[in-house]
Amino acid sequence: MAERRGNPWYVREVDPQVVQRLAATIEPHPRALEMGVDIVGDPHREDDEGYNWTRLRYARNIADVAPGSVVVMGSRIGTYLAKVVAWDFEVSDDDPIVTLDLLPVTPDAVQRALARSRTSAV
Amino acid sequence: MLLVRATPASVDEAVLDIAESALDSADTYEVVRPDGRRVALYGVSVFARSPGVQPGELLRRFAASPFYLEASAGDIRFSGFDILPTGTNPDHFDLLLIDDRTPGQPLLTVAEIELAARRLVEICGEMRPNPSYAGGPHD
Repeated sequence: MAERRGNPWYVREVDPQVVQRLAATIEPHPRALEMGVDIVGDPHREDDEGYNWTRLRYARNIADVAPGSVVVMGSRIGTYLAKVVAWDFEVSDDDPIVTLDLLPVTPDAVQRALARSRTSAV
Repeated sequence: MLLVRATPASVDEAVLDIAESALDSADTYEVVRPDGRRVALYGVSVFARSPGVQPGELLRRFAASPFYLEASAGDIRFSGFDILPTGTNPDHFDLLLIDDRTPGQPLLTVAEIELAARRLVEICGEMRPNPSYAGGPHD
């Protein structure tokens, strides 16, 4: 477990067929649609390994929040960037816990950096 | 020890935010109480602010949040809410809003949890402007 948390590149991949199955059964969450974010969750949360977590039912599009994805997470206190580390099926086969690593940068800062990278220096 | 949680812009939104988060927690986790009872974890996450750490430093991670709540661990415990450590981060805790619901019972509604959430907000007193807020002037 400590090895997993110590490696920022760690991702526990999910069988694509599982992603397809859940994408076919979980509707886009209304609040995710309303907020224009990939998934709704509380940025305060930490599990026993220090990861953030939410549930898959709060996603806008299941395929966009598969492990390894970078996502915009939204809550009533704004939007945050995160990397999806894993789906944990311990509590439910149909609505797994989504384990996230919150990224210590703001969406606005990343947008500004990407905009600069698209601008020619010439 | 002071405990901190970032909030939306109004007390009502803060209460709703806390209640919704506690409901998700109860739907996902359970915890064993000191007397051996297993209860649904109607918990809400907070961070400890150690002496010498300024609020803006702790709240930098919540730059999208305009306000925050803060109360001492003593005041929170005195009001009947238990404070549970959560794991690897020694500065992260769950405040247990409701501790008499077993995992097998139907989940409470957000409105039912709001009663405890509002009591917690009242313990914290006024909402304080987040010094690290990046969204422009406070209302």
